[in-house]
Amino acid sequence: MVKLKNRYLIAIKVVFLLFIIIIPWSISDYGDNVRPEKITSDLRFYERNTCSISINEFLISNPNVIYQDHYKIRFNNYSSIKCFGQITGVDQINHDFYISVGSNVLVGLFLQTSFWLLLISFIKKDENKLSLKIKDFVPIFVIPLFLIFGLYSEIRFYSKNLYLIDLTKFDHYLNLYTYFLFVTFFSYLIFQNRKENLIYSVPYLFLFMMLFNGFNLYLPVIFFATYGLKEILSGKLSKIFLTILSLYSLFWLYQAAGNNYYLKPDKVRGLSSTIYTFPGTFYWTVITFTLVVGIFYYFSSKKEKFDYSFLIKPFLLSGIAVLIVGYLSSGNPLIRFMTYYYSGLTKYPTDNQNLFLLNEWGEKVAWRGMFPSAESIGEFYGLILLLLILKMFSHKQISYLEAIFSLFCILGLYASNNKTAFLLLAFCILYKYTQQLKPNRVIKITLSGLFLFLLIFFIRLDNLLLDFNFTSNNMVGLGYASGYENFRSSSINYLSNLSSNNVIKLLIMIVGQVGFLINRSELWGLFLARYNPSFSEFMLGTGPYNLAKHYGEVDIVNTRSFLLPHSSFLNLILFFGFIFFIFFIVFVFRKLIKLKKINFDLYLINIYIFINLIKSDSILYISTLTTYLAIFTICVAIIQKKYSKVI
Amino acid sequence: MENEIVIKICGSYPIDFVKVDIENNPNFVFQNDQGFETINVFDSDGNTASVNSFLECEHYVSGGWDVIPIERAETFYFDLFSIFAVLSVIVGFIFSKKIKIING
Repeated sequence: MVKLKNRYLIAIKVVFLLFIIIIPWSISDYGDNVRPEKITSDLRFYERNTCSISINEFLISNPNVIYQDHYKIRFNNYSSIKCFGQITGVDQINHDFYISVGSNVLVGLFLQTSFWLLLISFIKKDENKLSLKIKDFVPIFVIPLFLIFGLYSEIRFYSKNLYLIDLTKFDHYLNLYTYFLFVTFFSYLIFQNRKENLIYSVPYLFLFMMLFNGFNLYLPVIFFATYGLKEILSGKLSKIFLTILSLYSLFWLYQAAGNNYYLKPDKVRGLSSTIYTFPGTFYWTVITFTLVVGIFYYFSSKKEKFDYSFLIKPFLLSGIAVLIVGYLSSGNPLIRFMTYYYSGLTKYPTDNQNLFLLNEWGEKVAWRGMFPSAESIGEFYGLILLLLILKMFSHKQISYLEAIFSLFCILGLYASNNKTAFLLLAFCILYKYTQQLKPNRVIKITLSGLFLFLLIFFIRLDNLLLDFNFTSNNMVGLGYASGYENFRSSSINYLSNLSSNNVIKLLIMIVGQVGFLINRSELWGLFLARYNPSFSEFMLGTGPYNLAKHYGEVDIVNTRSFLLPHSSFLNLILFFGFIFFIFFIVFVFRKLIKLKKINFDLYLINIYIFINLIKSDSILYISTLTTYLAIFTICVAIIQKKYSKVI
Repeated sequence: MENEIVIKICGSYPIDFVKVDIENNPNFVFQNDQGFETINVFDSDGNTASVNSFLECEHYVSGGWDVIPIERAETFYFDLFSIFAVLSVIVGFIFSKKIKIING
């Protein structure tokens, strides 16, 4: 047995982390007499000398690229291994210079895995040492098989990213299998050894999303899928559940056979199928199912105690880091480049440096910082503030540092312009106040009035004064106007032809009215314009994380950007169908009622999360999906009395 | 006799393939095969030849011509990474049992 002192190990890890950050971007043939030139509009030098100058060598000669925001450093994934970290071209578009850097995705796979796992390894290990058994090894060896099957099923996406990897050749799959085995084995080892403490580290997923560059895959997905498969093989899931899932899967696969819709995943890369085909649907069904089971069992396994105030520190630290890194990235091309790569983001951090920017109508422009979605990061800041305020209600001391950090979170919430998160936060605080301190009737009415005032302020009075017939039908009307006459979606056809005395019409009008008031008419209308299910697809869905059919089947008018449905509930109906959705709502509702009696604070946190999900795409990002699922799972575990102590 | 490198670069041998003695026929001209997709092969100096039939491809590859040098280099790295990955897993497994971290 080799004994190693902890401080030496930390020093080794820090050195190794620095090595991973600096060295790969410095490797070049320094003896080839090709020296980087000052960047000007004459870019012939960089056209002639591709893959000869490392990005660090280039930055030493062009230090202005580091801080001047008209330089954009971009990854060129489709480049050779030898070219990694080197300049593959410089282009000028108007006043902006685009500097392409070779970033072979296979090198990235090892580099990013090592970086993230080293970071996670700083989290304290559990007392009980992990001893790998056969039941651990089976999923460790099986999941990489599914992952390479995923590459095969999404060949169109990967052929643009995997340089000279021929996905029709067996030996290349063998190579890829070994790479994924490496990632799966080490992530399993590191995550499993830190089970007790990783629960409290979930918020750091907002700082490190851990999406592999050039892959449609997150590192946490690999681990949780492995863990989930282990739990399934251990026979923890009921046979009824597995049978229902199998029937669902068979339906999705049957529906997908013969189809071929492609989706450029954009900012939902990592949790979105790029293709609607039989193999694509099979892969995403297996991965999603094992992922959800993995998260569920990982966070609900029996533990000594759960103290949710322990979550505040990591939430606060992650929140402030996300804000600061986001701000630094917005004005600094090099930090933006590094943040994108080492945080594993789905989208480059914003280059908008003004957190208080207003548009020409005087409305606040949402600022997303480093996170791909302003809305989801707003939810995150709201959640941190809620945790902190609940801590104050429980008469626990708030430190000066926590108070200062909370100011950053308020700033983050304001910058994100997520009004729903703000309103929900206010609602939860008032609810907690009235529930705990039992104020008299006058105070209750005053507080309710105050909340109503806030609500009207955010919705705007002029919106409330509009004709109900217009506002409630606006969603369907916009959806109808977004389609083309020759081929409209089945949902918009159905909804626009409903008779006025129909109960479904009334329900849709209520949804439309809510959508109008929370500024979702256009987005939900666009969803309806695209949503084209058969009756059975409406009932049973088209498969997990399948947006390709949704975006590819019905042609609609051009939208200003890749607009997502902006409702996790709509996403759930799209993926799993209406029947599942109803069961899901009933299940959650029942659990929340039980939770309210056991722990009111956790109940409020869940209320905050679930209402936010109505109007955000948070289940499409690993950070929000894992955090919310983990919180809900822990609550279910508390209801089931799996923890000896809940604080 | 079928050559594995030929199969890897040129594809499977046609059923009716007959090897022609080209070296002893200075006037030999390769005929284009419409059903054969053109392949570029390279020599060690980086010179390129486009081959348009299986016979031509087989002739060049048997004479030492090969795939694009960068592809050769990439394939080398792919294998190197695989060896690294497998060795890391083995070493990681052994060391996870052998190392004990102590405070201090």
